Amino acid sequence: MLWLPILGLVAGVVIGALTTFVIPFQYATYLSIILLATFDTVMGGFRGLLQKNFDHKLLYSGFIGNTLLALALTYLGHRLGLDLYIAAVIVFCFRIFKNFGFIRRILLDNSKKRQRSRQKEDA
Amino acid sequence: MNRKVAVVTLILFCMLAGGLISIQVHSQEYYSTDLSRQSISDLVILLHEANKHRLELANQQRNVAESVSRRAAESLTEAELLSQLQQEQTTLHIANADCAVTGSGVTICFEDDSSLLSNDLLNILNELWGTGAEAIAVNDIRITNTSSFSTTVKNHEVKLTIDNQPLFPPIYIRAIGNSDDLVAGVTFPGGIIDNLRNLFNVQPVITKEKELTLPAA
Repeated sequence: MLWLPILGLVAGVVIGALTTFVIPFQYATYLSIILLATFDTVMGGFRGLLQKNFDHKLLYSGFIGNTLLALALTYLGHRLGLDLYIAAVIVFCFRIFKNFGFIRRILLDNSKKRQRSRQKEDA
Repeated sequence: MNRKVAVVTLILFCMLAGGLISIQVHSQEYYSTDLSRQSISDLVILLHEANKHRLELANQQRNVAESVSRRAAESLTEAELLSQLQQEQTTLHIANADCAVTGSGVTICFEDDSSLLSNDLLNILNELWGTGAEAIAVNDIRITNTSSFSTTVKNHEVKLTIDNQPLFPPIYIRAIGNSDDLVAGVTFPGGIIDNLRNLFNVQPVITKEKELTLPAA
């Protein structure tokens, strides 16, 4: 079941590649921020799924809230002449790496458990 | 049930992420081909490459033109050759301003208060030659390949001379040739007239003429 979201990612890339839509230059930063927020949500969702405490309300609210906050920071940065969006980028990247670390550990633990149970069965 | 909802939600978010990646990549590729988004150093490199390419093409064009004229000369009869030489002679007479010329063309008029310098004048004349002017005169002084231009400043007054003859405003530049080409050649955005208008507030009046007569030198 876990490969289905990856298939969704590929489908999204293909659909996006088929469109010829180009975002205006002044909004490129905002799109990058939304992209990072989406990745952060995906990683958080994977972690929740593996830890069996997935809450879709938490996921949606996190995505919308984080995206809006990051976009507001970016807009404010543009108005003030400060690169405030970098703060959002750092936070999102930090969260993505943190969640990736958790996912990695969970997958490794699961694989170890499977190995042990097989060894027990063999014994 | 909860796991299914989670997977469907993740699929949706993954699709969104994939779509956004594609759009972002599209957009970045588009920006990289847009000249207005390039850095100055990149534009300089592009300009160098374009100039190099232009020179190569100009060389090719010259070689092809030489080859065409050689072949044409080989295939011409005596009468055709004579007529061609006469045409060339007429062209040279016109270029040397040996005779008066009549034809359609363009008039560029600079009013009294225009602070026109000899360099500006030279640039305009070069643009006119470049766009196919057959003959040019400035205030009835015919321009040839030996014409000299100078600017002198006396008592805060700019004085222009051509072949040591002073030019008094208003200055009229008259050129014979295809009037549409000549106007397009001097008025393109970023060109000499555009710069004079936007940077120095010099407002020349450009008029297409059906018939112009330029005197001999």
